[in-house]
Order: sequence, then structure tokens, then C-alpha cells
Amino acid sequence: MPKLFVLIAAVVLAASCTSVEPWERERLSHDCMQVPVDADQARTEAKTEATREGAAGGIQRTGGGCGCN
Amino acid sequence: MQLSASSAGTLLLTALALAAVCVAACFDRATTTASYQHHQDDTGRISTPEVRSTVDNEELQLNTRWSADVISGATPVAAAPDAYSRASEFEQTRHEAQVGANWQQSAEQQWAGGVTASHEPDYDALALSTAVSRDILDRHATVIVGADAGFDHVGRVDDPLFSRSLWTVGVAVEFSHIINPQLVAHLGWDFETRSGFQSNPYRWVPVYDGSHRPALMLHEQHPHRRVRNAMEPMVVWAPHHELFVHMGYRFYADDWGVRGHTGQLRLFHADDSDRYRTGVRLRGYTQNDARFYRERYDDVQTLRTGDPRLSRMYSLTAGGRLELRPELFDRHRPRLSLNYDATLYRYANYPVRSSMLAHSWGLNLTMEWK
Repeated sequence: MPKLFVLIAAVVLAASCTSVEPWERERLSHDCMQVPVDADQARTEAKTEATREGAAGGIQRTGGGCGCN
Repeated sequence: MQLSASSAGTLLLTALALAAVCVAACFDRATTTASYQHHQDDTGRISTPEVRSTVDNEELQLNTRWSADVISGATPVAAAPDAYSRASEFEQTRHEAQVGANWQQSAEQQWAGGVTASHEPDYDALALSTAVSRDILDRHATVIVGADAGFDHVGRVDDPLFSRSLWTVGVAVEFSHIINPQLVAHLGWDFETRSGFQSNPYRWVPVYDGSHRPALMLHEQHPHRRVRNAMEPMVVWAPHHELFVHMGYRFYADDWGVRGHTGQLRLFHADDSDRYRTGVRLRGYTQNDARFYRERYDDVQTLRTGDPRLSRMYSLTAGGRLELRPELFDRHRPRLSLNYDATLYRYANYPVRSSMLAHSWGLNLTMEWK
């Protein structure tokens, strides 16, 4: 999987040689362009998913213990 | 000279108040959020009150968080003929506290770190995390590298001698690149290894002898080690100055044989005046079962489980969010948000239930001081 990550990152880099100037970044700087838009809400969603699904953790990792096995 | 308990308490409170005033004076902005989340499904309810606060200036941000999960539901009774359906009601509270800091080292580089601790009567957890973020390629791309480590202690309320541990170590790499003035591509990769006790100490697994009644009830037994990988490509697109689209896919694989696929679409509408925001999300998830998962155990296996999270399943989630930012006060603009999600779970080979509907809703109020 790490090799695949590097490969996809390289493809994204190669496909995006356009230069975006600072004055063109109005939309990019909006809160809603951030990932996640709301980190606290994302944490809550990740916690719910971790208690019900087997593929949780990773990027959406939450603190240990949920009491809801 | 000896201090009485009340004098010591007063001194401590005064010192804390002074420290809070000094800390607040060093920062340009502070925010406090109070929230309440509620989750309900066939297995129980979880209510989560939470308080978060942040202070920050141009270089440094400090944040703290406390939450409690008040869990009420049912847990299987040991040695019952059918451990799945015979269950005892319980209520348990889990407390979690977090402190963290973000440091803007330069225009291009930022560091973050934090400590999270949680406690409940049968489970304690401590986790440390750190991450560095750097803008590269003339600020067209950002790379984030993070690492975390955690130690959990697992107990059992009905057995004070029961004591197990679990260690978790993880590494994450995220890469974001601006494609054009409306489009950003993200790619995340995450690796995590867990070593230690990973079963549910309360869950029993029935072993059948050919008849419909279980001949044996054995404790769940998961492997000691689990290595998890996840990769998540995503695009964020702003087709209109008030409309934002987040579209992502996540692939997950671990050495227990679980493969998961998640597709997610989020749409946000942000009013030009910034008085309100709305958002909707759709999420689909599917996974296969773990290598040692059986719908029914007809003989004694070394590894055995009754965990629905290791069965073959899928889920569909639809939800919405409304955020209001009324201009009530010039300097302390409050934000009020409401969210609701409904999730349908379908299980292909889980003997206890074939489907389940879950509801989650929440309310957040944030106040900002400048």
C-alpha cells in the first residue's frame, strides 16, 4: 500500500502543473474547502463508525476504549 | 506552618484562576464550545456531553477537551443458553480528556501534538500524538506526517483480577495538492499496528454439536496482533462560490482478512453573508468478514468471535447539518449547529440480526472571544 500511495501522489503531481496565484485562491481559502470541514464533527462520526464497523481506525483513529463493544 | 485542606483548595483555585487569566492575556482569541451528541440503535444508547476550549495567537494554539459517554445498553450474560439474546441491562460512563497544542513554526511549517486519556470502570486508555505539516511546491501542496502511540488497559467489572493490555502504534501521511482555483486533491495513507488483548471480555461464543442448542460457551478469542492499512483519495471542489463538494473513497485492509470500501459525498452550502451553512452527506460502506469469523462454530476453534464488526456487512448513512451564525454581538459571534445522521446496517452472516437502524443527532454551541 505505501508504494500505491507514492504512485497515486506522483500521478496527482504530474497531472497538476497549473500555477494558482494568491489572488486566485479566494475559494480555496474558504472553511468549507478544509478537510475535514469540522474536525470535531468528524471525530464524532469516526467514533460512531469505529463502534459499528470493522474498517475503522487509521486516518479516522479515535481514542481507545468505547465501552460499546 | 500547615495548611488546612480548604485553604489549600482556595490557594489552588486562585492559582488556577490566575494562570487562566495569564494564559488568556497572552492570546488574541478564545473559543468555547459546548455540545451534546446522542446515538441510538438496537444495542443501546450513547449520550455524549462535551466541552471544548481553544486559545490562540498568530503562532500558538492551545486546546482542551472533556467529554463523557453515558452508555446504556445490554451485555450478554455468561453461561446463558443463548448468550446473544439473554442479556443484562447496564449503564456505564466513560470520561475522556484531551490537551493539545499547534505551533506555527514558520509560514510553511506547523507542528501539532496532544495527549488523550480516557477512563471507564473496565477500560483505561492513554494516547499520544504528534504531526508536522509543511507547505511545498510554492504553497501548491501540503504534506502532513503524523505518528501516535497508545496504551490501553482492559478490565472486567465482574472480575477484579482480570487485567489485559493493548499497545497501538500508528503512522499517517497525508498529501494535498491544489489542482486549480476550484479543486484540491487529497491522498491519505495510514498504518497502524495493535498488539495485545483485542477481544471483548464480556462476549461469549456458542459452539454447537450438531443440534440447535450450543454445547459449549467459550470466551471470544481474537488474534493478539492486528496490522491495519487504509488509503483515502479525495477531491474537494468548489463549483460555485457558495457550494462545496467533498467526494472521497477509502480502502481498508488488515491482516485479519477484513477488506473495507467506503464511498462518501458531502455537499456544503455557505451563505455569502456567512450567517448560515447547510450540509448533507451520503456514505456507503461495505466489508467482508474476518478470516476466522464463522456464522456458527460447529467445533472448537482457537480463534473465535461473535463480533458483528468482523462479519460480512454493509451500511448506508444519510445525514444533514445546519449551522447558524447570528450577528447578536459584535465581538462574540455565537455559532449554533445541529446535525442528524441515519444509518442502516445490513449483516449477511451475523446470526443475531440481519439489519439495524441507527440514529445520531447533536447540538453544538460555540462562543468566540477576541
